[in-house]
Parts: sequence; C-alpha cells; structure tokens
Amino acid sequence: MTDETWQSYTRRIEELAARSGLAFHPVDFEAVPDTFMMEIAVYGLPVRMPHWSFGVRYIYQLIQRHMGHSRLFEVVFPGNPGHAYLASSNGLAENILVTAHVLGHADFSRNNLLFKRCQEQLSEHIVEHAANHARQIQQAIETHGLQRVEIVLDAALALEQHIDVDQSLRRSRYSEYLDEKRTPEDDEFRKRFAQLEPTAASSGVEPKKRAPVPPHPERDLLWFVAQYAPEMESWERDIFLAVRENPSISIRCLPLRS
Amino acid sequence: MAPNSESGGGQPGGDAAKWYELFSRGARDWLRHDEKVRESVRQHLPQIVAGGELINGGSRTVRVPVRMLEHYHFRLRRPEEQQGAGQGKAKPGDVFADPSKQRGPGEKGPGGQDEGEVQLLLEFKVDDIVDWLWEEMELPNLKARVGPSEDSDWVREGWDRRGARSRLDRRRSFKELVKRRGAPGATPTFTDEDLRYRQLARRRQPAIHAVVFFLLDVSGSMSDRDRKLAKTFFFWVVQGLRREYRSLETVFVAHTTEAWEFTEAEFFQVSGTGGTVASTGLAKVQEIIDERYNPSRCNIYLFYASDGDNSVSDSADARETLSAIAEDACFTGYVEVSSGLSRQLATETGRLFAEMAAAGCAAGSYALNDFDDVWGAVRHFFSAESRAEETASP
Repeated sequence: MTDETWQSYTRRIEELAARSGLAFHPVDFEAVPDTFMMEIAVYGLPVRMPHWSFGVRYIYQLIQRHMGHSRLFEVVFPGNPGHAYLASSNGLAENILVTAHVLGHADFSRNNLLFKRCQEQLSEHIVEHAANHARQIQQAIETHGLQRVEIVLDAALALEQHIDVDQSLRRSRYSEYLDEKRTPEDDEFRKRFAQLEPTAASSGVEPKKRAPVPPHPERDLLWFVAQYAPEMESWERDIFLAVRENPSISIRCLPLRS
Repeated sequence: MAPNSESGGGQPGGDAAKWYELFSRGARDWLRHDEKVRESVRQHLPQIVAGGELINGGSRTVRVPVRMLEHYHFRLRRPEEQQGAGQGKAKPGDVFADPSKQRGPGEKGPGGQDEGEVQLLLEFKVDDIVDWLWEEMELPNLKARVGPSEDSDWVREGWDRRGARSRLDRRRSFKELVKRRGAPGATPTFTDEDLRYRQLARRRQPAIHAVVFFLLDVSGSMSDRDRKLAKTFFFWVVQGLRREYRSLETVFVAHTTEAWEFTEAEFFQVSGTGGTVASTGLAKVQEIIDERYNPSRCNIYLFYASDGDNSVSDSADARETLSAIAEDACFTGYVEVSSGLSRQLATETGRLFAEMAAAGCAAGSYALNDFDDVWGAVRHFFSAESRAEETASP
C-alpha cells in the first residue's frame, strides 16, 4: 500500500462524506501491526491495566484469527480528533472501504447523545484518560503487590458490566438525610394561627431523618461498592472507580468481522 | 502453551514493528493467566495427576486438560433450570416447566451460536511433580548395608593458583595479598600471584544398597481400574524412590497362578487372566532374592498390590513364603486395591499381612480405593511422620 495513493483517497472520501451531510471530528489514522491490532481489540483501549482475564480474551482472539474466523480491519476511538487504527495487512482497496466506514463511525460518535455526554464529562482526550488509570493501577501494584491488586481487580471486573450509562461519571454520594418538608410560607392564616396558640407553630421543626442506603434501587454497582462498601481501603475504592470509568470510555466501535 | 511472539504480520518496517512489540500486553497477561492455572493445578496435584494419563510409554510428562479461567459474573438461569411461578390463573398441580420438553440424548438440537470452548493442555514434567510432592519421604527401616556399587561425587578440596574464574576464592586471595605486602597502610594491588582458586576432587563413597520388589496381582479378579490404580501407585513410588536413592535397584514381578519377572516398561503394560495364587508371586520374589541379592549386604523391600482375593487353598503356602521373605526384608508393604468396595483389608491377603505385623515383622498395609488416595498411600509408606503416628497409635 502506498501512503500517497491512500491519502489522496482519504481526502476524496472526506469531501464525499461532507457533501453527503456527515458532520464529524477529524480522524487520525494509524497503520499498526496485526498483533497490536488484536491487543487493542482485546483490551478495548490502547492502554489498560494488566489482568489475566485479558490474557484469556487474547488467546480466544488469537485462536479465532488463526482459524480464519475473524479478521480485524479497524478500531476507532471517538474524540476530537478521533483516532483510528488500521491493520497494516489491509490492502489498498480494503483500506479505502475501511476509511469510509470509519468516517461513518466518526459522524455517529460526534452526534450520538451518549457519546456526546461521555465526551463532555471526560473532555475529549479519552486515550490520555485511560492511560492515567492504567498508570494508577500500575502504581497500586508497585505499592501493594500484584496479589492484592489482582484480588481487587478480580472483584471489580466481575461487576464491570453493571454500570449505569444514564448516570454521570462523576456522581456525588446520596444525600445523607431525607428531603426536609418545605416549611410553609408565612401566609396570613399562619400568622394569625401562631398568635392564637404559640406552642403549635414551633412544633414544625422535626429531627432530620436519615435516608436509607441506597435510597432507590441502584444499577451502578461499581460506584455503589466504591462509595459505600464498609471495609475497603481507599486505593481499593480508587481501583473500583477506575474500572467503572473504563468501560464507559471504551464504548468503542465494534471491530468489523469478515 | 506459551505465547510466541510474532513479527508484525510480515511487515518489512523493522523499527516500527519493534515499537509496537513494546506493547505486547496480550502475551504478558496470557502468561499471568497460565501462571494462575498452574498454581491452582499445583495445589490439587495429588488428585489430578494420580488419575491422569501418565503411564504413556516412557514419556516424562503428565498432561492435564484444564479449562480457561473465567470471571465470576451474574448470569441468567439457563432455561432448564428455571422454575415457573406466578399469581395468575394457575391451580395447584399445574406444571410450568415441562421437563419432557428437554431434548433427549439421541435427538439433534439446532446448530449452536456460541463460541466453542478452548481447552488448555498443561504439561507437567514428572520430575517437577515429584519435586513438589515427594517431601521428606524415605524408605522405611533403611540400614547401612553397603553393596558393591559406589557413589562418586565432586567435593571441594584445596586451592590452586589457576582455576576457573567462578571458583575464585576472594577471601583467600586477599589473605595472600596481605601476606605479600606485609606492611599495613600501603595501598594493596593484586597481582596474579595472589589469586587462589578452589579446587574440586572426585571422591568415592560406598553407596547404600537397596532393592525394591514390586509385586502385582494381575489375575482376572483385578478389574482394569484396579490394575491401573495399583500401577499408578507403583509409578509414583518408583519415581520418588529413584529421586531419593541414586543406586536403587527395582524388580518388577506380576503373578496370576504363575509369576513372571518383567522389565519396567513391560510391567506397566501387563495384564492377565486367571486365578490368584499369591504364593507363586512371593516364591518368585524369594527366588530372585536368593539368586541375585545377599540380604546381609542389601536392603530389601517388597510392595505387593492385589485385590486380596487369594485362593483359600494357597493361604498356608503364602504365609510360609511371606514370612521367609519378611525375615530378610527391611519392610514389606501391602496395598489393597478394591475400587468401590472399601473392605478395609478384611480379605485373605489383608489378614495375612496384619498377622505379620502383629508378629513383629516390619509390615504395613493400606487400602487404596480411589485415585485421590494414591498419594495417601505413598505418604503412608514413605513419610517418616505418618509411620511415627502409626506406631504411636496402632
């Protein structure tokens, strides 16, 4: 594949896309070896913490590839600019098709509400954000040892699916007390009532009631555990929160399967 | 199974490919996964390897099939496991989930959509397994009987001015330097004259001589499983003892109504039909002892595996031969293999060995019912601790 030919095609495809009404952030393309491609697909992100379960997925992916069941053409990460990894084994024709396909993804991820909200909360530097989490976990491994971190990750990753996409990434804790009843306004009637019987008016101040935890059924399990688990160390809570943010980041475009 | 690094999809650009190889996280986590699997296999090794396909034509590895590790996760019940419940029009006695709807084994189901399962085949070296499991075990009642064979070993002996760099004795060399310089305070510099190297010399030691007889009942009453159980036990005993004693001789004998001596490889393949006459096997052992081994110069051990159903007419002969052997032997052990039936040694042969032990001979027996038990049997006979317990509370 000659870069120049492909780049000229890319320019033409972008023009075509703009003409047909697609609105997208610019996309950086990078051609990477197949093995690296597989790893991005397995880990969901270009950088992610080490964990044995990714090794299992990697083996599956490797076997699938060797048996010819699956071939990865591209992985796209939304953002501004978006980043697309293309397999370096793609031919020119394949790359032209894939480029057009990626622009479709870019249009979708710019205009999709869920993506939009996610990107607003994380800024648009998704990959850098993920790298921070990976570093944070690497540091935890250095301080607390692989064994202990792995136990926490085992627990956190088991709950990985249980996130609530409708909730904000940075949630605050539940309010500790139930909402107080609004004190009624001092209208004419209440003034006169208070004059009538001074003790009755002051009884409006009731002790605050503690809210139950959780106050409503909670889907955001990782967040809930991180916030309310009684016996966890702070670094363990941090790992839960990091794991919680990762899948939301990696609502990535599923790799094409041939 | 180990990850093999691949060059980046046949791409010529060497530098770029190398840059991406820095990120080979998949291989790293793969190795971690394998490590975890190995760890857990290792923890359950006695049960796993005892039942494994291990006596496979002299190959020195054991293959253990394992599944991939999986995360704990919440999942829905499978349809077969679901039970109905409701508040509707149902009456007591209504059946919600009809078990007859489940497919019988003969019928064909629709083609599956799920991905196939990947199975790992872990290979363990027999030597490694023995290293892990064979702890502080030894032949019982070993006496210092010295045979014709000798061990030779390299021992450290003396110093020389020339030698391999790795055997440089720094402390000694430094002493030489100090000696040469004499006066303290001056900056010492080494010369080649100062250097001293440790020397090795070969020293011969007489080896403790021991022979172990493995006697196996291969008569028709021994089922395939019994035979495999006994052979598994023998296999691990042989492996462990060989590791512990370098100059150990082994003799393999199998018997039905007759008895034959086998080579090790043949012995682990042997099977037979016919009745059980234990005395023939014991007589064969006696014959071999008389022929080749002098009891005063050699430690003799006998381990006998059988289902215990000796023919009644043979019991007097068997007792006679066994006591003759037991006089010369350091220890005689009896392993009763009876799959399923835990008869706890209440058999003809079992009683015979119990009598021997009661008469003060060094004899022991163990009832081996299952593959999980194989290491229990090995420990019973060879670990010093378990024997001590046994004598404390007979």
